[in-house]
Amino acid sequence: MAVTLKDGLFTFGSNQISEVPPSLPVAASGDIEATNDAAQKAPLGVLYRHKGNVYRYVKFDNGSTDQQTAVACAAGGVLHWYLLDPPNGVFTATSAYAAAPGKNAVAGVALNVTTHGYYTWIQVGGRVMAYVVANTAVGDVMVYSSTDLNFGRCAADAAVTGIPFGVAMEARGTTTANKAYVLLLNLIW
Amino acid sequence: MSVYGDSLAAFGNAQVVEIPPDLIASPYGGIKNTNDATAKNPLGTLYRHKGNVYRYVKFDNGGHNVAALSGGPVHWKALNPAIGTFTVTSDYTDTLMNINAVAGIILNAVTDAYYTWIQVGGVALAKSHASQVAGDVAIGASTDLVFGRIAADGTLTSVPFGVAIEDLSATEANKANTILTSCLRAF
Repeated sequence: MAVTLKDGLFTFGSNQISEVPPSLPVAASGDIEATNDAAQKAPLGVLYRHKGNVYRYVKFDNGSTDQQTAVACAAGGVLHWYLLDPPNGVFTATSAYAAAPGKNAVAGVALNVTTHGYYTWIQVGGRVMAYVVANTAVGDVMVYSSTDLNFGRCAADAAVTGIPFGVAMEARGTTTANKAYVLLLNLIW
Repeated sequence: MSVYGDSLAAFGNAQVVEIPPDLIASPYGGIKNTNDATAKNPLGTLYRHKGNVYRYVKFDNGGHNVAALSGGPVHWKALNPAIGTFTVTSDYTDTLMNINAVAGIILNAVTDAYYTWIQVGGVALAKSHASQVAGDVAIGASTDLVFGRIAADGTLTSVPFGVAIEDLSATEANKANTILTSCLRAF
């Protein structure tokens, strides 16, 4: 199925027609995390609740379109908005911070090594394993970072200096090197 | 149409809400031109339309009769979801909770005491602070119908309601396209 509905992002209609690949043995958490579509297979921008988390279908750009240095996508990588025009169905996320329209423009978390120019589901709600900057501790507030693919941090109980996009549920590296489980905030709209 | 104080379920309301037909004057569709003398949808209901999210509310221009205008952040004046009260105002002096009561963005010159859709999610062209630049955090302000700002990387001193994705007036005078990140957070 390949349906592009610029004006069809209704809460329910979109959920009904979006396409999620069948589970594969290699993806223990469900195959939505492995989505890497050369052709668009769901309405751009649509939200989907899947196995307790929330995802948004977007086009991925590694930054090279904007003549920035290309930044390869990575599972757990924090993406920023590159192009965003909901009424016209434009939802493009990028791995290159330099291609974002400015600070605080986090779009969600990539779940695989998506190909430049392809389409995928990024996570925008629930718990996700994400790259976080050094010294991230449990309870820290996750904010944007100018380091590609990473969440920045504000220490728990300290002043918050950006839109809070999540809270670290564990210290960096507890489960996976350079990453931490993060409870996502403020990315669902 | 009746006002359902207890029926704000996402699906049921989406099925029964009324959106005016597209108008020539409104390239994005008629939702932005809604100015209903009587309530035509359940108050408080949310509606996802062309990638953005809207809430149906009653508009009140407040004690100072502040005229509504497209792109102006409005504040809650009366809010009691349990009994279907969702009233927003353009008059800051009537706000329920100081600068932290931003309800959303009003989309046209709504008549006092009429009903309309305000934008609460997605990208809105919003009246913004004179110094607003891309990346700034949009917050409530004590000035009618305008967002305040906290510079990017500055300490947040009030509830963040959005992020500017362009400098002020880049698209339209005194406004900036803003991602509304948090108007949906409460309910």
